[in-house]
Amino acid sequence: MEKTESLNKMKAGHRKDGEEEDMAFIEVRDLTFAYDEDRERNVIDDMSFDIEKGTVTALTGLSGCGKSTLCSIMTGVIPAHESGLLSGSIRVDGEEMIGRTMREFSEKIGYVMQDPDRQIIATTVEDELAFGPENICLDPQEIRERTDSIMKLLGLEQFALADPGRLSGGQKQLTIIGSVLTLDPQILIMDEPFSHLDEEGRALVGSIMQKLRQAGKTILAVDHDPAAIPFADRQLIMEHGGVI
Amino acid sequence: MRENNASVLKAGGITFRYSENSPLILDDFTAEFTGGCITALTGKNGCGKTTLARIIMGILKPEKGRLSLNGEDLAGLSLAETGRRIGYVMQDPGRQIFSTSVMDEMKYGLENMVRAGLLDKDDVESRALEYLELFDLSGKKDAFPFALSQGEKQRLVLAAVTALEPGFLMLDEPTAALDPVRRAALGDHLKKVRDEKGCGIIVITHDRSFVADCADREVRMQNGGGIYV
Amino acid sequence: MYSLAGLDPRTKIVMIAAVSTAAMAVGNIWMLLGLLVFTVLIMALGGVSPARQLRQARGAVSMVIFLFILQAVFGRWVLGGILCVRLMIVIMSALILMTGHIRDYLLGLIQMKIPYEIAYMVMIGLHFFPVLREEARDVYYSIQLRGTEMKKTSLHARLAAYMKISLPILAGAMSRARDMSVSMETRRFRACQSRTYLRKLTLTAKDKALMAVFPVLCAAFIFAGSGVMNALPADKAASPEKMPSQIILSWTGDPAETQTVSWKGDGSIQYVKYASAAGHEATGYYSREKKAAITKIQEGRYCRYSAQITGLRPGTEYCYTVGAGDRWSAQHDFATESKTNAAAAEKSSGSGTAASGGTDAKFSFMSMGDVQYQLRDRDYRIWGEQARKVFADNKKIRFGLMMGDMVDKNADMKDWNSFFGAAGDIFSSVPMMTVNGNHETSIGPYTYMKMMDLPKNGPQGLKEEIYSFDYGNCHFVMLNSGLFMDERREAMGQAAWPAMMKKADAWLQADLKRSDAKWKIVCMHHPAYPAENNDPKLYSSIRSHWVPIFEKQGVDLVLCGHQHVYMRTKPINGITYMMADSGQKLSHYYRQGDALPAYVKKISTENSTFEVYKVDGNRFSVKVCNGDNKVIDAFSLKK
Repeated sequence: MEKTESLNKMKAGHRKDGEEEDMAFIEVRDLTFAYDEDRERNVIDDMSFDIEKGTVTALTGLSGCGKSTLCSIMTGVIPAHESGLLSGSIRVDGEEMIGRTMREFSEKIGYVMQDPDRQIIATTVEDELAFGPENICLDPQEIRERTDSIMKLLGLEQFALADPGRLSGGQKQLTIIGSVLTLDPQILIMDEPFSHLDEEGRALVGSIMQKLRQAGKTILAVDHDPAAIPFADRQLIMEHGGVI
Repeated sequence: MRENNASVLKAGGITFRYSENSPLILDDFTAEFTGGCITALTGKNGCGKTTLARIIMGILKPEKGRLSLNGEDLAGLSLAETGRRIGYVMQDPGRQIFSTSVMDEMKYGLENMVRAGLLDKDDVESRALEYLELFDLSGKKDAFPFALSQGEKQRLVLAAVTALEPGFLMLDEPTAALDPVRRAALGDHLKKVRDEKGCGIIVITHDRSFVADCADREVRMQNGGGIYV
Repeated sequence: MYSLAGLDPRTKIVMIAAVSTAAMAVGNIWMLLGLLVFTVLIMALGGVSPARQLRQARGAVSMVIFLFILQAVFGRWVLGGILCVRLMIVIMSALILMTGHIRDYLLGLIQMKIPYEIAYMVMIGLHFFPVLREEARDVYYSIQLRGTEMKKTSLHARLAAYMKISLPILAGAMSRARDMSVSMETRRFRACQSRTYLRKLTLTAKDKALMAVFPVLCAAFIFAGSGVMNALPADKAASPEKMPSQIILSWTGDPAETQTVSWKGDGSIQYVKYASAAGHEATGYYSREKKAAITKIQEGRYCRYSAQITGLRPGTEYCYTVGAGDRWSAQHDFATESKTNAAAAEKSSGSGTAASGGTDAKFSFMSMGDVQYQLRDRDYRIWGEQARKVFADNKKIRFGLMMGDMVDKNADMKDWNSFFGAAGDIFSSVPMMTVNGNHETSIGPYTYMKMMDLPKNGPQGLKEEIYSFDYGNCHFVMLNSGLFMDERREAMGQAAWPAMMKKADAWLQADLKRSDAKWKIVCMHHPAYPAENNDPKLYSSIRSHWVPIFEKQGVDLVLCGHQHVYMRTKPINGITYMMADSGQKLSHYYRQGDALPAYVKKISTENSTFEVYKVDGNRFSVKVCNGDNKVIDAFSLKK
């Protein structure tokens, strides 16, 4: 029960007394990356930024500026699935993440990719949400509690036994967000969450993102449209591999 | 807005449902699309825009209704013949690329036209280069198409189907994956095609800003039918 | 009663596995149909509506028809039927699967200890199949829209197009696979060795009961359909003497539609069981049987059985076995006369048509002379080996003719046992048509007639001693030349014998006259024209009674034995007379260098010869082989 409650608790600010004042929840310093295919071109070039805990940060930029690559690095997909030259540091809550496995990344960071159709595995919404907790061998009772509470949070209860593939764009995206949330990550990285959604879907996902912020999650949402996330606490603009 | 009065794509009384027991997707849909004009086809997701596109392209057959291009009934044409009259760019352009280089992709459709006796063999190379230029892909002539970005793939398919010099172009949700800059660039390309080639262009989209920016006309789909706006 | 939908998915998996296994294992079409009905019933009782089942069946129809035609083209009707029913059972039983949700099967598989990676792979595959299919369709339309005709083009062009569309489909699939694997990994798939599950399936009492009972029911079909009930011969149980043996075929009726089987048995009621070769291969059954008539010889010390099988199809291969209870012989085969040959034969029997014997007959047969031995067992064995060699080297020998003196002592069972024992290898698959020789005869050939089962179309009082039969465009008249022996004349007396001969002669005349066959062949034991005239009275009697009839009625060839040599005459008034010997007994009639009658064309003292005849419409050729299968004479008759 404790763990479930924690999902809905408001979290206080991130700074701990006695620690360095400057330490943000997520600290990216001098991040540089070039794909193996083109070592000359740094897709991420000396990038540095901070993200505060419990905030929604919108990262915008045009195609090709490196947004997706950044998401891949911050979830461990690079270098696990794609290789290249990676240097710099990413600290999450003081811990250095560069050099860690995807497994370790996934303990702290949840990843919602662009197209929900390419992420849905299960045949019912509740199975999709249960997927994560099942993977980490949680007790079935706890899996049930987490699933139920996230479905409630996202307003998906009536779809518990529905086939996610048959839901609307927005509901599908919520299902995927839910399946990431049941793992209770502190951080959510969302890659172009609105790109396959119409106005209704955008509104739905937007409101959930705000709800999640209220619940203490830290969200980094990447999009090419600056106006897509008006409720963002901070906007980072990327250009040519760096923040401007 | 330059209207080419000779070129008209008419859809009259189109009625369609997927199977006997499913609901009507299109109910007596009637609309006209003119050449030399960019028409936006709008409406909520799931209201039948893609279905209409497929009916026009001859992929789906309507229960009732008539489709004609410049008076010619489209119903009797084969897909190859329809493709020469209307160029179709799907939402996922990755499904429309069959070659291992950009140039080969451009030439593929043109070679089919040579086989059909509609194009001179010597014109293939020049046509291909012309349309690559039009869509700013000349630099990528030898690239492997599946390594291109989504936007570049879309331009490639657009170039490849436009190279067949159809009277009309139909694009299904082309702006979905594009950032504002690319979206504007696409708008510019479409306008260029409209102006230089006199094509009629139908763009299925729910992107209001794109409509505002590029469309000369709008047909809004609602309850299975269409309204001019 | 019970609901399939409510059952645990593992139960359903077990049910489908049981039904499918049974479908594959049952080889009998009636049991298979029963299994199909059983499956349909089980599903109907479990809540799968008949309408739904009908729809499923309809979907399968084209596949089933295709499968059937594939077999029917090769004439394998029964096999085709079996394969189709099997397919139907498997397709229908898939409906059992459809009463459940995929998520339940996934869980079911996992709880059945299938590694979860595999179960997930299967599920994701199933999940993505419709997506990939839709993508493939779009690709297919797109390539056509680009100007590629897929309908009216050559196979080569279509193949080239399919190669092209494989590229985007592959690229799309790979891209999907990559995204899916990243998505699963970031959601911590395989983070731990094992995983837990939101739900757990539990087996109810109904599930357990069905899982136990259902496979047993299906096994019952396998058991019943495998022919175990109809026990195969248990050789070990019965001692060799009790087993049926000395199986010899002959004809007592039309060779196109009948087959007579005779054998030695133990005196119990016995049968011949038979089936078409195709049917037997498909079902493992002999579908028909016929009870045999017993002839007890020597107060039952030797029992000879005989059964005439009728109603057969011309030109068909059959297999059979004889016996009863737990004593059945091994499988043997025979073939009925083919249609073309039969048509020719029908014409020749004079049943209405005046047309000449058909020219389209084509077949082969063999003849043998005296088998009678010097040393019984050795010589019969040698004869058997030689005959087998000739038989093996000459394809399509349809039957064998024997000219008598098969045994040495007419009532010695040891002789008959040896003879039949040696003959069985060949003549259990082709008929043996015989005439009796003097060694089968005391006054009459009584034991011989008990042993052999021959056509009863001869003259009254002389049935089986004299008979005729047709095969192809040949008419065979089989005569007992022993009628002319002194023993017969004396036993019958001065009045009865001539009367009998008158009847015999009249029959011979009528029979030969009635026949329209292209070729007329007479077989008897004693020669009309001997190599050596040691019994002038008998031979001249043949010449006076029968030869004129032969000549008048257009006989082409007369076969005989008796003098233990091979001799062929020049055509005498249009008839060739041929004498042969197939045994090891040395001739004491003719020796090398003796003076030969003028009519002799060819003579050889080769101990055993076998004559192979090839008939092909207007052509009639004879090849004479010695015991080593070397040709020592060959000739042909011309028409």
